[in-house]
Amino acid sequence: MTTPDWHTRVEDLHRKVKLHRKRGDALREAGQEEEAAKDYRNVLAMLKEMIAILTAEPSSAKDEPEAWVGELIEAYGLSGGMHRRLGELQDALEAYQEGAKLEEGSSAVSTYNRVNAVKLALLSGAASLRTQQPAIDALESFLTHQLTETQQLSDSAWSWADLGDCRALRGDVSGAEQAYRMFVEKAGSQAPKTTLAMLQEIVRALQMAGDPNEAPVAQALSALESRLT
Amino acid sequence: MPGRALLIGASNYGIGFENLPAAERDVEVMKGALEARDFKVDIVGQDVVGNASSLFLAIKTFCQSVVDGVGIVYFSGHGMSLEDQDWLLPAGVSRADAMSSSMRVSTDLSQFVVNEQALIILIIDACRNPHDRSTSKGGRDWSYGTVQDIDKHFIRLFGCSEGQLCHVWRGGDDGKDVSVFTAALAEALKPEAQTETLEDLLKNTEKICKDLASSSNPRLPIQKPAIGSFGDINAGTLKQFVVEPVFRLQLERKDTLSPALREAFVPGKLQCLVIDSEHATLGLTPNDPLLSSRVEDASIEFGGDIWEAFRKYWCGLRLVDGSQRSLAPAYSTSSLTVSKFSVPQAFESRPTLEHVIRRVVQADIAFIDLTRFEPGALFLLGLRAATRRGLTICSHGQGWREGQKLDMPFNLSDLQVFSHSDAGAEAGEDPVVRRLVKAVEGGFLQMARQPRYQDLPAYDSLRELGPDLDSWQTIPCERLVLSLCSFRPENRERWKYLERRIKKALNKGGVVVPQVRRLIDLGSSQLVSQSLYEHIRRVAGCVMDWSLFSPSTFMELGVRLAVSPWGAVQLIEQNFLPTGSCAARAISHDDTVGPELQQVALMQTLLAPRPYRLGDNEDAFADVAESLVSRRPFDEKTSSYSWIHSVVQEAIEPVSLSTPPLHQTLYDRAQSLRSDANQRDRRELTQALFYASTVLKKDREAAALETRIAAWLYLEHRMMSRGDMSDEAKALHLKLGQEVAAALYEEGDAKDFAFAEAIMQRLQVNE
Repeated sequence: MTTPDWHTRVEDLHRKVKLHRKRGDALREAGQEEEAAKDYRNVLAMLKEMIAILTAEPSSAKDEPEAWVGELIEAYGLSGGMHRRLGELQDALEAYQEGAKLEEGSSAVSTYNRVNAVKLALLSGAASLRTQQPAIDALESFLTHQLTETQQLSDSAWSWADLGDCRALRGDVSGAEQAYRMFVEKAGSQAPKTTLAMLQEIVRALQMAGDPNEAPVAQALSALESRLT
Repeated sequence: MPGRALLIGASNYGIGFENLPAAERDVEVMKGALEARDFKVDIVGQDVVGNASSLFLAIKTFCQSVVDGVGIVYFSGHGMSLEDQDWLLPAGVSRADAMSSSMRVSTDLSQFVVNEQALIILIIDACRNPHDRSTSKGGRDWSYGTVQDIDKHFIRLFGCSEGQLCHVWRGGDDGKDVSVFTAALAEALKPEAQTETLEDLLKNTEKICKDLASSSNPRLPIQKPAIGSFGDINAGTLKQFVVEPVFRLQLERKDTLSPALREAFVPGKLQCLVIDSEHATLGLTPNDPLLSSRVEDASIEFGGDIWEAFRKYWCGLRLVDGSQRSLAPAYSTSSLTVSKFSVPQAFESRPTLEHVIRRVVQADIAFIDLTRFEPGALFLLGLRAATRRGLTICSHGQGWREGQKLDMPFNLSDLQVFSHSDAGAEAGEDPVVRRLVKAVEGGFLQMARQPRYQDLPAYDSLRELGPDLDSWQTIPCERLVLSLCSFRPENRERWKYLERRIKKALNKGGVVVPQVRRLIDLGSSQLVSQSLYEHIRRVAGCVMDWSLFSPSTFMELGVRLAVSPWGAVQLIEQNFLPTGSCAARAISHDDTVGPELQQVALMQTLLAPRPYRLGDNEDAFADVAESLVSRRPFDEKTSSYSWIHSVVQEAIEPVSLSTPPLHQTLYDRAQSLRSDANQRDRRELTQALFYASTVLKKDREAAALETRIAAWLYLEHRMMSRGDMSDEAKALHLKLGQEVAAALYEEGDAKDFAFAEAIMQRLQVNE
């Protein structure tokens, strides 16, 4: 029996990742935190395996560098999400930062890791809004440009969510609303549940840290909550 | 082998007929003219000419002795139209005698033509009296007599047309009387006239007749030589009439069908078919290459690319006999067979057409030259449209290029037409060839991506009729007879006439309230194409009128004969018959009218449309009504009207794809409904149209989930219990189980959670 190619192996792992992540979320929702954590750990192990497959640089990956780096970016992004669910914010930040480096160094259109690296830095108190402002501005500008210029990307729901986050963090209520509305339209019906959740956490973290620039973001969040619900 | 001729001159007649001294001179004139053309000439003695049975025997014996080449029987004398036939009257016969059939000789010699290598031409310089051209006992005019064996190579050449007489040119030949027609014929046969074909001969003789009539003193009425109207022109004789140099060379008849066309379908090969138009083979457009030569160039230069595209779609697909189509990864020249023929070749004979139908149905790729939308090409296109979802590439030549205006037939209005006209490329890659190759590559790719891919109309409309009995069962003649005909304004009167006559004939035949309708008369709100093909499939009674040679109608005829065992009653107004005043003709690139399209006569022989005249009453359509109501295709072992359907039925099985397994169908359906088909949350895209509607999106997602659950349950409880799950099915069982469980966990409902857990357990057991 021949070993499946890296595409197939990664694809299989993605299905399992999704399955256990959803199971973990369902268990957490039902209050079974320990069981949920087991699933999240399971997912992290799978993502570790996925990253190992991808970083082993199989010869086929060299022929398709864009697909290969795209999978790696996604694996780091998913790892960040799992660590965040487990409360391992530093690990989450590191995973997002790894992914962000790959995003910046490639022609991949993803901004997920970069946006989450910013958000997590704020969430964990590792950075203030002022220090993150240049990165937020750059991402907002990049996403606005990308979503305007790259027609195929305009179908990608999560790019609009990233743009909404950046605009909300800049206090741009109407711009954020526009971006979030596009996200709600283009994403699956379950996805919008999570839209503002992380933003709420960030506002709480900024308030706790006494960030002097917290007020506009809190106002933006409040306005968005009333407009989007 | 030189041609032979038998000459008969009847001068003296009994009471009621005037004597014809010119007939003797006519025979001498013809003898000279034919011998100058290397014909071996025999003259029938007067003792035989004056005895009907002896004359009949002499003619019969002569005809039967012509086993190869051309035999001419020439008659100058009296003739008359009687009992739907044209007759030769032997010398000495009186008008009273002529009423007895034993005293006259039929002009129908078709039964004495012994084989396909022989052509018998009967030249008749007769009908000298107005009483003879349409007698009270005859329903038809002079020159409209029937031919018994319409497939025999027998042509009658009359000295005058219906309503005219054959005249004598007094003192016209060195002071002696001679018949106008014979004098003109002899003139047209002189070597310097360079007459080679029968068509040339007819045209030249007509012109000389006209000149003689106008120059004689006193002037004579015009007489226009004519070909016999019923059955004289058929598959073989039109070619001989128009193309063969009858007066120069002996005839050569050979089977022109390429050997590749006879080959059976081979699943491991790519079978490619090319149909060239008759226009292309006539060479009417200088520098315009044949479509078949373009395809040959493509197969030589890009055979590997074509094979790869073909293989991507076809390799591994399961056929209805349970086998899988296995295709070699590497291309070799033996992997691809190209069968090519021209439209007229397709209709050369019934065995040939049967081979062609099989190939049209079975070819993996069909290239069809639609230049000038010839009836035969459209008929074959209809067969293809009814039987294959793809791949068919339609092309147009004669200088036309993509982007230029092209008057498309009504039911091909959304067809993608390519050009194979000369692109004027002096060097390098030929853009026309490259474009055809791209069309093939793109076509196979689209077929793989889109389960409902179509490159021709009709395929789905013929098959997806709805589940209710009322939506698919046969519509009997008593409820509707569908008429396929031209919708052009100039056909309105003809259509109204046909409708009335057929309705009356049906009514006389017992149909209480006959309904003969064109599609546009049905008053349906349904899309025309959908309704058209649905009715073409469902009606038991279908009438198709060839008149005007509407391309759409010939395509519909192809569809009808392919899909319906009930066939179609085909009609044609006599003017549209070959050599008629409205016969189908080629049109050159500058719109000048060219020679007659040979394909129509060939098709006429094989499909046997029934001629009619606009003046006929409903009794003349009694046979049409009888044919419509008496057909019992499921009760007859062989029928003349369903043989094309039978050939299609037999040909389609080896190339028919098996219906995909239910779980695969369900899975594919779910994939087209869901929002996260690529398993990546971060690449979530919804396929739903008008996705901004949350309600609509939720409905699609719910349907996608339930469909995936149905697919998984089918695999789990049906396939797995049978114990013969393929590796592919096992992989799908695992994949679907994981996807379904993940979606159920996301639902947030306790029952869904429990179901997801149960699925997980089953997956763990199976892993």
